[in-house]
Formats: sequence, C-alpha cells, structure tokens
Amino acid sequence: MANTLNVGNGNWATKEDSLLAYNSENGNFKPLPFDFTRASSATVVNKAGLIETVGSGEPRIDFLGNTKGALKLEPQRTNLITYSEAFDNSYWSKSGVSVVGGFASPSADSPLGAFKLVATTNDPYIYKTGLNVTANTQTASIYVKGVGSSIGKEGRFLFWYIGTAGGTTLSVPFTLTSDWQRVQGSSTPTSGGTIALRIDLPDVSVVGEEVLIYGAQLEEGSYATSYIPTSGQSGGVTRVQDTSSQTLPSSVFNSYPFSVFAEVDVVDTNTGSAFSLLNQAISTNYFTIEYFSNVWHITARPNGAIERIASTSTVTKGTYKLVGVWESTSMKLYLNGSLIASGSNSQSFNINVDSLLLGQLRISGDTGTRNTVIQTDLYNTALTDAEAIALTTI
Amino acid sequence: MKIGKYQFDSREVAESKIKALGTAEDEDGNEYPTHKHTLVHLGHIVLEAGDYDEEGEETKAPVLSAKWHIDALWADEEGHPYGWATKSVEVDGDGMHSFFGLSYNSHKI
Repeated sequence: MANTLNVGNGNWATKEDSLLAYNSENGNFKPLPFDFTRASSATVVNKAGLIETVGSGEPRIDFLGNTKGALKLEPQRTNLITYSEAFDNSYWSKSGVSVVGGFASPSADSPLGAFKLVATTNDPYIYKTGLNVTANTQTASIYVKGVGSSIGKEGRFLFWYIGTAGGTTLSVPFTLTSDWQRVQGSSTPTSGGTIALRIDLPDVSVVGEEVLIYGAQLEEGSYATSYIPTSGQSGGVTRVQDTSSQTLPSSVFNSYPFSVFAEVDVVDTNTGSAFSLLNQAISTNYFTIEYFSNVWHITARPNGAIERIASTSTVTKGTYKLVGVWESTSMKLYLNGSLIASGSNSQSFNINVDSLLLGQLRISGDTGTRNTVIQTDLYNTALTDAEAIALTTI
Repeated sequence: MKIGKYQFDSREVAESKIKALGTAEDEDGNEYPTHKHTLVHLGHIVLEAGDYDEEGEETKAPVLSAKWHIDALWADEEGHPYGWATKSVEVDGDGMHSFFGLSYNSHKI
C-alpha cells in the first residue's frame, strides 16, 4: 500500500501557523506541512499533565490521557465566568466555607494558583448569581481535588434557576478523588436570562474538611472545551476556533482510488467529521467520513451531488480508528477492525477537491465540531479488506 | 487580524449584518458561515450590576444596555466590513470581553 501522507501517531512537529506531515514513500521522507490557524491563545495539557497556555497560531499537542499526544482542534468558545481563578474575589459568594489561596494547582502557568475551601459548616458551597446565558445548552466545569477526609465524598454542580432564565434547577454530582480532575455538568435553560451556578464541595461535609479548586468555566455548548482563564472580563474571554488544512500536491492526491486512515477522539456526538478532502473554493464539494443522526457515514460529494452510505455503528464519546476507501464505483467504511458500510459510488473525481482538513468538514468562522486528531494517513490505493481491518483494529 | 467592537439597535439587525458576511447551506439545509471571522454576541450588556440576597434571589435587577453588542475578530480585514463602521464603538482597555491573549488596543481596527 502506497502511503502518501502521514500526520501524527506520536510524530508531532509544530511551529507557529504550521504542522508537519510527511510522505514516506520508498523510504524517502518528504515534508508536507499543514497550515494551521487559531487567531487567539489557547490552553493545552502538556506532557507533564499540566495546563499550559500557547500563543496564537500555535498548534496544540494535547497529552490528556494520551502519551503519544493528539492534535487538539476545538470550536470557538467563551468562558462566561468573570473570575475563573480568583475564588477569594467577592465575585464568588461563599456559604459555610472559608477560602485560602496559594496552593499547588494543575497549571504550569499558575503553579500556586489553586484555592483551598475549608468547611465552616456541614453545607459548604460557593456560588455566582446573575450569569447571563442563552436558551442553548450550558456546560460548567472546574478542577477539583479532595484532601484528607473529603476524598471519596460527593460534590455537585447546581444549575440554580433563581434568576430570570427559565428552567428547572439541576444537580450534577461528582466524586472527589486524591488527584486533580476536571468535573463538568450541563443544563439547558428553557429561556435565556440569568442563572446562578453553585458548587458544593463536598455536598455534605464536616467542619474543617478541605477541598482544592482551580479554573472554573461556564460555556455555551454540550461539553467542556479546554480551559479559558479569565481575570475580570464581565462579558467573558473567547478562544477562537482551530483549523488545520493542507492543499495536497497532485503527486499525493489526484484520482480514484484512494484511502484515508483516521484515528480521532470524538467529543461532540451530535455531528462531526474525522477529516475531509475539500474543494476550498466550493465548500459543497468534498469526500469525508462523518457522523450525524448517531451513526457513522462515508460520503462522496466531489461535484455537489451527494452519495452517502450510512453504517449502523452508534457514535459515542471516545476514540475511533476509521478507514474510508473510495474507488470509481464503490466506497467502503471500516471502524475499529470491521467493515461497517459499503456501497456504490457514481461520483466522478474532481481534481479541485484537493485540500485535506484534519478533524473537521469545512473551514469557516463557525462554532461547529472539531475532533481531536491522533493520526491521519492518506493512501493513493484502495486498501484491501485485510489492510483496512489491520489498521483499524484496536 | 483586527478586533472591532460594535453595538446594533437589535439582535435582528446584528444577525442580518453577520449573515451578509457570507453564508451557505449544508446538505441538510442548515445555514453555515463561509467567512472565517470570529463573532461573539455579548447581547444586552450589563451597564449596572444587580443586587442579590444571601439566597441568591435578585433584589434589584441589573440595568441592561438597550443595544445589542458584538465583538468581532476579523480574520482578513484591515477596515470595517461594509455596513459595520457606523456601528463601531471604542472602549477603554479591553472592555468587558476579550479574545484570549489578544489586546484590544494592539489589534484595534
């Protein structure tokens, strides 16, 4: 099998505005750099497992739960919390708890930025009222760590509908551990307005019990994205969307048949793509492996008319190994060691479909899904069943 | 890239200006932007904070701006896009919202 482009799989090389891929045909390694854009700073979990801020245009290789690293690609999001780290600020109301700063945090940017909450009653909590939200799903997250007797106890988020937003108060429980963990919960108001966010740590305590906290975030969306620090911006701080793409040389991609292997980490199960091969001038011309309506699909739409084959494989959050094989009259989709969809392809190849986008379908200023990319490889052959199954077997 | 801050008479007016920046329809008929700018709806921003009692209940409502506010990070624009200049406002410092790691004064359009 002629492997014409490789990116990732632990071989990451990045610089500002660029991510390196390579062609390894015949043992000759030729660079094939991807363009990378993100107009703002962002945070990433580094090799040491600590949160670290990187500058505009710098690709993020994230090591959260992955020792080989993965290219983190995210949509635009805004942290609506005004003081995400200053829990001693009067912005945060406190009940039954004292707050002490200067403790070791999970952040390389702010090593002593954590706060210790010490219970002064058996019902300690901090909260913030008057948070302006829309009627779309809101997700709250915070880093927490149990100390001593609080380890193993339950804490909770309370989406407290005591403002002008419509909705039913929702309690989202989590268990405190001896390690830092990022806990999150989501709620969907029935109408926009103000809500309160309350964090009970732990939910039932004894006087003197302690919990460490760091980095609170409230964002519009169904899952927590990477942490966005704030320090007094009442309208929040926005991280801009990431995009990584490459216009492929014709020597790499110019006709049927071709195959693409992609290993991605799905974070938003609503809709998304593992990658796309796109005509950047006409964004309705593409090949992709995508998911929507809860299942994976393989799609050929190189000239506008769409040909799509659905699998019956349900999409949940987690890591997937996929191979798509496109030939002049057929398409096949493999997932995690099995052929999950196959059928005919009547779409003629379009040489203007020449850009490879990692982890997403299109480049635009939207808030649509980007999936974290562990590896993407392009082949200028139709992989055999045996090759595709071997590549995708977990 | 440049940062602009804007206020419109209503959300609907703001959304029509954003739509004019470029949209297309996907295969399912859903509209998506074709531009590469980043637009943040700040909405009716709080001009004067409300008051809340110890239970978190609102005792005095916040005073909100009658205008609909938008912050924009323009990807490839040196000036305001057509129809945006007259809605532009200037603020001290970064104002109430910022783009992570970007100073408004250094990137002001």
